[in-house]
Order: sequence, then structure tokens, then C-alpha cells
Amino acid sequence: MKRFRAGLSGYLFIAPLFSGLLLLYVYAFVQNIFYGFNDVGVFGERTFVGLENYSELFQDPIFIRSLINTFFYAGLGVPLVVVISVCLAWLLNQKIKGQALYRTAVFIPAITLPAAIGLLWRWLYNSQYGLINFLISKLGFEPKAWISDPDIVRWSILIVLVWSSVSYMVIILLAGLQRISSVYYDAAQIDGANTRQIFFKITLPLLSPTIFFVAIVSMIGFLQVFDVIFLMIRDGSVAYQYASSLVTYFYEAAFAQNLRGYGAAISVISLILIFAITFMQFRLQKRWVHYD
Amino acid sequence: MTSTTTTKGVLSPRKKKASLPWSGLMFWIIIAIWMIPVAWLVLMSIRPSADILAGLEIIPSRITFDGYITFLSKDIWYGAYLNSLTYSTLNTVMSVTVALPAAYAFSRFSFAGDKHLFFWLLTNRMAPAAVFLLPFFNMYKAVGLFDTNLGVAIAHMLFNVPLAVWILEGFISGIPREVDETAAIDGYSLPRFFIKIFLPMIRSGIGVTAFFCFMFSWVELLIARTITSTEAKPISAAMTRTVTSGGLDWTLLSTAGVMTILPGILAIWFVRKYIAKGFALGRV
Repeated sequence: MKRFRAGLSGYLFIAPLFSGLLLLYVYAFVQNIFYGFNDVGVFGERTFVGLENYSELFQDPIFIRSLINTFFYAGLGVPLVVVISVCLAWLLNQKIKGQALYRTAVFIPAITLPAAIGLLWRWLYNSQYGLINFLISKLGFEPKAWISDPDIVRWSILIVLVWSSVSYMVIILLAGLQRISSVYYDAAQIDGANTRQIFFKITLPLLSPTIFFVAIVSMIGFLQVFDVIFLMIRDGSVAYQYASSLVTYFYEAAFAQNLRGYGAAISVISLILIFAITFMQFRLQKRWVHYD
Repeated sequence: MTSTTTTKGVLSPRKKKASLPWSGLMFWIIIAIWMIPVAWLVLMSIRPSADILAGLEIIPSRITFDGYITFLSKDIWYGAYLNSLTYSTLNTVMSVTVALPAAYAFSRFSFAGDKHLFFWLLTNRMAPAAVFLLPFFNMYKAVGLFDTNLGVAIAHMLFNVPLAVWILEGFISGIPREVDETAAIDGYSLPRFFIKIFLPMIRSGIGVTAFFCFMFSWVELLIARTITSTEAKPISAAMTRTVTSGGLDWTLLSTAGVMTILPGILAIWFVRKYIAKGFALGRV
């Protein structure tokens, strides 16, 4: 059988990708790890300090808090996003009139700039004129200082993060749902399965590769949380420290305090964390993900 | 591909589904709650700032389009908006162009180290932008890419190219190898086959990929903000820099917020049917 010749052309096809582009990233990546072992000034002047940045990090209470917060966001956010987006995608997949309209509507948070999301939710959370305090006081609850109370701020951030990331996951899951062959549904209906059984015994297992993808992507996203916190909590306020994540602290150290080496060390730790957790997810996938 | 046509045929008799009579209503309620924040943003953009600060109103008592007029007439606003559009579009074109042949190679050829390369590519998606930001910042300053739209577009390829390869590989693997083989027998050269036959076949894949690339580049803040200052200032930076200054024009900021949703809505409207057809996300 005649084929296009593989071998050389394989490399030829990936050449554009791996020449300029990825070399650039390898360079940047290595450079960054190198920065982590140095004190780096604003103009790039360096002094080698070995592991000093790292040992300082683990005695830095704000770093420890940022680390714990990052676990908080990811640990609660990812399960929430997965559950909500699966339910929403399943609902959206029903044949209900106005499909074009509601599908577009549900995707809107995914394409809204974090700057707009931050602005918007700052207003919704506003303790004096915010819609949320208005609604909960109608319901008879005490109004709260959503984004300045150190005890609440992380929860407020979490809600916004979930809201803004669910949309994107719904897009992915809808695509996954569409790929499930109708043969399975027909067979189940003939056997007299009800909606609940169909959902749990057919939809979920067949959707599991997509759910796995969603879990991976949202975990990576939550471990890198930056923009919502950065934009919603006024810099320098007490609450900012309480909401701080690894990446906001990275930004703070590297660009606000100009501690470039220290910042690089934070980014390396966040990278190690993401790799370790993603690796664990891949190991665990055999237990619940079904490939057909 | 075939599954979609059969889905339609089979789902229509299922329309009688008495199992979920309430789902229609419940569904719209959920959508409505989900949309409250966005509706709120639109409402804020047509209320005078003074009214916004005066207190909570569900229905605006006074309406103004000052926000939109200012946005479209002041170049710090529309200029920044155009910057964001420029680098997102540039990024989309470059990412898809680079990813297409690579995705084809990963799907069709086996060559030494292909599995490793593919996996390594995906790990680049895992790496936080923060890991690359400091070296990029210094490098850009050195080579003159700092504060340029091209610079932002290139930096965003970091996370978009791996994703593009991943999605496209899924689409390409969905097309039988026999197509390639037939073309080879018919005497097509590989590049000609690729452009004349193959690209049109995976155009929905290209559409979906372009959509994701555009979207991720459009909403990205950390990189775009850090490697620009004035010339290529993105709209998000224009919005945030106003947020931190003293007196805020809430109407104008909300207007900017609404304006930033528009390109995305347009993009979704166009790729909606491709997304609905379903796509594989490639192997994991």
C-alpha cells in the first residue's frame, strides 16, 4: 500500500513548532530555574545564593498562607466545577427550544475578561450597594463584608472562580456528550431504563474521558489562580494577604517588590506542585475513566 | 461524524420524553440565575455613575450612553481594545499555523521520540505562565519585543499551541487514513494534499481550535499585563489601571466590560455548531 513517507517528513512537519517556539520556552524555563538560585535585581544583576530563596520561602508566613490558600481553592473548586459543569452540560444537551441562545448565554462567563469579572463581582459583593447583600438581607440574613472580611474573602473568591470556570468546562463537556453514540441510549430505552439510570450508567461512564480532561484542566487552572484575586481585592488591604495564592504572591514578589529571584523560586514550587498533582490524577484515572 | 446524524434521527422520537416535564422550566431558571452577573454588568453600563454609587436599583431610573460614547471616542479605551483584538487574532493565526502540521505529524507518522514529544508538549500546557514570565520579561526587553502586540501574541503561544495541537490531533485522528492513502495513490504530493484536500476536511476542527486560541489569548491577564506598558497596553490593563486610581467612572468601566464580551459572543455564535457536533480531545 502506498503511503506518504513518514520518517523525515514527520520531523519536517513538527519543525516549525519545535524550532523557534519551543526552544524559546526551554530557554526561558531553564533560565527561570537558574533565577531561583540567585538574587536577581531589576536590571538583571545576579548573585548566586544557592538554596537560600527556597529556605526563606518556607519560613515566610505569607508564602505558607498562599500555599494553603492555593490548596483551598483547588481542593474545593475543582470538585465543584466538575459537578456543576457536568449537570449543566447535561441539561444543555436536552432538546429544549432556543438552543442557540442559551448555549451562547452559558458560554459568556468563559469569554468575559477577568478584568470585567473582577469589576462586576466587586459590585455584586459591595457591602453597601451590592446585589448579594441586598438579597440576603431580604432573606433575613446579616449583610457581610464579602471581600474585606479575612474570614470570608476566600469563599467569595472561590464562588467567582467556580462561576467563571464552569462555562468553559461546559463547552468541553457538551462536545463530549455529543460524541456519545445514540446506540447506547436506544438500547437503554428499549430495556426500560429511567432518566436517572441512563445518566449514571450510560452518560457518566461514557463521558468519563471528557470529565477526566475537565478535572485535569480545571486543576491546573485553579492551582494557577491569579487574576480574580488580583483584580477583586484591593492591593495592600488586609484581605489581600488572606486571599493570596501562589501566583499572586509570585507577582507581588517579582514585580511589586522586585525580588525576581524569590519570585522565580515561588514559580518553580508552583510548577512542581502542578506536575505532582497532575501526575497523581493520571495515575488514578485507570480507576474511573473508561475509554471505548 | 456519523453519530450526529443518527443522534438527530433517534432523538426526535424521544421527544415525547415524559420523564422530564419540568426540565424546560427548571432549565431556564438555572440559566437565568447563571446570567444575573452578566445582566448586572450590562445594566451598570447604561446607568450614570452617580446613580450607581447612590444605591441599589434593579431597574435603572435614568439611562445614559455616555460610557459607550467615551469608550469609542477616547483612544486610551478603543486603542487598548484594538491592541487586545490585534494580539489575540495574531496569536490565533500563528498558533493554528504552527499546530496544524505538527498535529498531522503526531496523528499520522510515527517517528523516533514522537510520544515523548507529544507528552512534553502537553506538559507545557501544565506549566504555569509564571514560570516563563521573568525570563520572557528580560528577554523581551533585550530584543525589543517588550510592549508590542507581536510580543504578547508570541508569549500566548506558550499555552495555546499545545492546546491547538491537542485538539487538532483529535480531529485529524477522526479522519480515516484511507483518505491520505487514496490521495497518495492519486499522485498528490503531501503539501498539495494537505492544503487542497485535508484542510477543508478538518475545517470544523480548525474553527474550534481557533475559537479556543482566541478566547484564551483574549482573557489572559498576567502575561499581557506584565510584558506591555503603553504602546500595546491590553484592554484588561486599561481597565485595571483605572480601577486602582482614585475616582472611578463605574459606567465607563462597565461599558468596557460589556465591550470585551462582544468578540467572544461573535466567536461563539460562529463555532457553536462545530462545538455541538462534538470533538475528541485527542489522547491523554
